Amino acid sequence: MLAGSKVLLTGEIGQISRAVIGRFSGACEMWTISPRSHPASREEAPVRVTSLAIDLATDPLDPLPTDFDYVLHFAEASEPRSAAEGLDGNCHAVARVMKHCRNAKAFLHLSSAWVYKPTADPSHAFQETEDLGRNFGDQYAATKITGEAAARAGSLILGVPTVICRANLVYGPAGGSALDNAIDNFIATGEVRAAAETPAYFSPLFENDVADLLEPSLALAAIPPAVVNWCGDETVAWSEIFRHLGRLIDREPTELGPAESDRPSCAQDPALRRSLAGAATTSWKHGVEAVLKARHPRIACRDVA
Amino acid sequence: MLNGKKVLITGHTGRIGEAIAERFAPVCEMWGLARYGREGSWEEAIARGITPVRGSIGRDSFAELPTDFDYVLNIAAAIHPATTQEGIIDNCDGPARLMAHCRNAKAFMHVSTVSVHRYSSEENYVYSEDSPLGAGIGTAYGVSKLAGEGSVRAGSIMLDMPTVICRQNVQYGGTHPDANVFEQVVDRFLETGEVPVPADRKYYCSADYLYDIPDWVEPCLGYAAVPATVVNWCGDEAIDWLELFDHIGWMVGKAPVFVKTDKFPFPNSIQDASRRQSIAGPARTHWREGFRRSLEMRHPELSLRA
Repeated sequence: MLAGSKVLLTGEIGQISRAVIGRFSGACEMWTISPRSHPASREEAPVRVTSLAIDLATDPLDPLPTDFDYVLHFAEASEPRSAAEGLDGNCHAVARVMKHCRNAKAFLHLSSAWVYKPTADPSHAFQETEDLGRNFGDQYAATKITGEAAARAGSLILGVPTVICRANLVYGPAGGSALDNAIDNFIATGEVRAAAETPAYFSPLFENDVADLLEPSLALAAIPPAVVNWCGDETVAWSEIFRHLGRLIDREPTELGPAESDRPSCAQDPALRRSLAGAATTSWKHGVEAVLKARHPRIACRDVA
Repeated sequence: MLNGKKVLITGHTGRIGEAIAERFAPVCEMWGLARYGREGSWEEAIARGITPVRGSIGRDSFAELPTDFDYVLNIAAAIHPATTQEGIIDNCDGPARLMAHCRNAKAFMHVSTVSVHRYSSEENYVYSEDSPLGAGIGTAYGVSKLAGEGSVRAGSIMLDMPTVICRQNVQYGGTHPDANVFEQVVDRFLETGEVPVPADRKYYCSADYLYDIPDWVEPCLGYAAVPATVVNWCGDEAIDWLELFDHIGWMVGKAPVFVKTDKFPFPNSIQDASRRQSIAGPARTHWREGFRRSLEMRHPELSLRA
């Protein structure tokens, strides 16, 4: 689907973006935009990526072509300090990029698992149709809900087939996500900060599995938009991930209290994703082991999995 | 501004929509889009000089609706959606469909709610237009209205359509057949002498008098912009629930018995009226006067102490 087509990817620095650039940039004409130029990430990426420094919330989009076949909108304001900043980065930006690329065959809007309304059972796995409404990350979750709304409106107003993908924790050897950072920190200090709820459950998604999901998700794009959970196949407790890592490296994790910014429990139902793209290739145990081996090659690692 | 113009109003069979239609239908070419589910509402629209078109903004075809409106007043909302998914069809997709259909309008007014904010546990917190957004108290209504704001913000940018979002407080007054929850409490007090109060807090709000709202429509349309602007629609004063019912009790000669409940129907909602005051002037009706008039209209059998 993407092979030979012209693709715009926004938010080139995130882990999901890097996984997608790594997989697809060689096969298509890929353009990326992000608020600041990131020469390092451009060096990592294979050829044929054209990167522009554009802040979708504020800059004119004139330098950007309008004839993209597919738009992968991964950019977001992940830590907005006010409603206004969150609306600019998570809602208005969606409208601006959709308007600019109104002839695209499909638009993929990356949303978050943390838009779902919390339930009494922290291990509950949310389906795509369940209720929304959460106050997580100050203005993050609320403005991501307005972002989904913007993508819906764009789809209806401009006639662009759209898919909304609600991502759980994504992690992998490329590093940089909340889970990767926590693993790095555990290796360095032996300490694990608790998630914002205890027990907290997640459905982490390994970076290679993200790239596998991309084309099947784009194929689901519709008017009004389709919604699909981007999550792994398994629900796992945060503390269990670190107990497992502790067994691998023979070190008991020291649990610290949560910080306010940490993510609360949020597991997702992978049924729709599985029906589109098949079973996830990487279990969480193999995934965190892969992170450990790739990012900390000098740490002795037992074979307990 | 609306004089002689072609205006589309949605949800004009509800309380706020009816008050606005009553004011402006005589001076403009007004079209109504509503479900007309209440018996007689279709005929009422025609009698008022409105051209009615039957339909739901989120679900039905707009084939019978012209596209050349000068102004759109989007007041329709699903107040009790069963789920957020259902609410999003009516309260988020609906406004987008309407904007797409009326894309040449000079301005689009979207009525929203104070429930799009992150609920504060401070009982006298004042919500300004810039206060944090959130899931309100977690109802499907509040969340789907938050999505609705995202939808019209996007529509404004994509269609280059000046848009204003008006965040409504609790309104009261008038003889509309759908008594709102506020008036149901007043009626229950008149009947039983009892007034529910929240068990865990003192309740305050900035209720607005229904017939003041039409005063704000043209100034708010004039304030519409790209990206969308926001104006609180609320009274000028914070109302203390106990004081309100002491006053109503004084007018009708009956002392209220306050009964604590865990199921008090309103979240606290004092709103900052200053932006609305700066563009539309002070609210005409103070709450003491507004509740008097509301009682006179709805209960003409009572003789009120002056």
